[in-house]
Amino acid sequence: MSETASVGCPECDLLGEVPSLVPGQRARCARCGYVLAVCYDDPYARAWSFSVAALVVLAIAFSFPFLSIAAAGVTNSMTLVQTVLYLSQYGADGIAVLVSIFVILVPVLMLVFIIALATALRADRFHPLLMAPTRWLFHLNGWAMVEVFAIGVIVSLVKLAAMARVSLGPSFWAYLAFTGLFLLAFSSMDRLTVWRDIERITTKTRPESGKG
Amino acid sequence: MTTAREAGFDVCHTCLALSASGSGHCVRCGAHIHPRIPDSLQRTVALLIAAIVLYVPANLLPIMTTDQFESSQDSTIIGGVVILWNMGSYPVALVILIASVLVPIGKILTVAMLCWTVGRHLPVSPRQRTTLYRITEFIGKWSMVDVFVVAILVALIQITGIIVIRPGAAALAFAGVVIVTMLAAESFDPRLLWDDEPEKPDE
Repeated sequence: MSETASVGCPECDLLGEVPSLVPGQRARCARCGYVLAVCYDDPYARAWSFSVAALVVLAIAFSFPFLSIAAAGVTNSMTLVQTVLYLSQYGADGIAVLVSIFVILVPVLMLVFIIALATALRADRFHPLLMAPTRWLFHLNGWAMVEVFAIGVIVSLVKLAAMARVSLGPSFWAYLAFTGLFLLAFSSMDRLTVWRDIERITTKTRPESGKG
Repeated sequence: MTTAREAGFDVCHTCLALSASGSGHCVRCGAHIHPRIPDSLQRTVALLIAAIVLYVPANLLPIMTTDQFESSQDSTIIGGVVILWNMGSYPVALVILIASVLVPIGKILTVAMLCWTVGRHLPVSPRQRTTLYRITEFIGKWSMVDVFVVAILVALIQITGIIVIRPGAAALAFAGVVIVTMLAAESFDPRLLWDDEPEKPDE
């Protein structure tokens, strides 16, 4: 971030000035300690790389078994898609929809938005169509439950270990990698940095505006 | 220390920009903005009541059913914790107990307490209440763990004729509790915690 920005704290309403930060620094609200901005070195390259890597490992997680179980001489394995399919097969459509939204749809949408936004901003460009997805990105975050599902897999594993032989498939490891990469990708997109860059780019392209 | 409201601005929750108060939309990102979330306390309390109502079937109905050979057995959330505990899987039993029982109840009580202190203008430290609010917001989605465990077990344990696990009605009710309490935390405006703060000189 190049210059001081006047901001308001969204959690306590205090006015504040965020000074120019160097990579690794973060700015907090003087009264309530809310993190107003975090500065990364080349944030868009970072966000782009983590997002693309996250989508690649997610594709792997979709393609192979997650867990498999051997009991009474029979084995059965489970894939990510099956978690949703079996639920709806037993009439639990509501849960099937919720699992798809929180574990797959919301995270994938966020990654697509991050890739589009990071590509544009790194090239110092912006398209008005990106405005709404950028707003959504910062609100969707609370509803992405990637890390919760990862813990769910581990809990299931321990739950079953006592009664059957459970083995981990390639997707289990791919999904753990996806969890880490997803969290890194989103955290790279600091909202103050993003919105100030959008503001700078959009006012620069409008010649009549002499602001800045 | 000046607040945005005293200076005649509304803070944008999406991009932190300051816009003239009452303008309705953020000057920078176009998001809807309000000086404070409208009817924050009423909305939050309504969602908390909905969460308490859903919490009853979530605990009374089975969260999943296990069909083993000829017999079938329903298990509730608490029943699952007891079985795990008796099996000796203490850490997992504790994870489920905390995520499925203590966290939802704790969240409902905490947010209700925050609404009460704001409604009554009680002089409780805004900083401590903000910390409580942040913990509530952060742990919200972790309660969903039990629902995901059901989804995983149902997909994995499908050995027809030997053992099959089916999802139960409590799973949806419990997911409802988690979603509604998350919405309650979201509709609570933490700025209300600071609005009664007396003017203090800068230190």
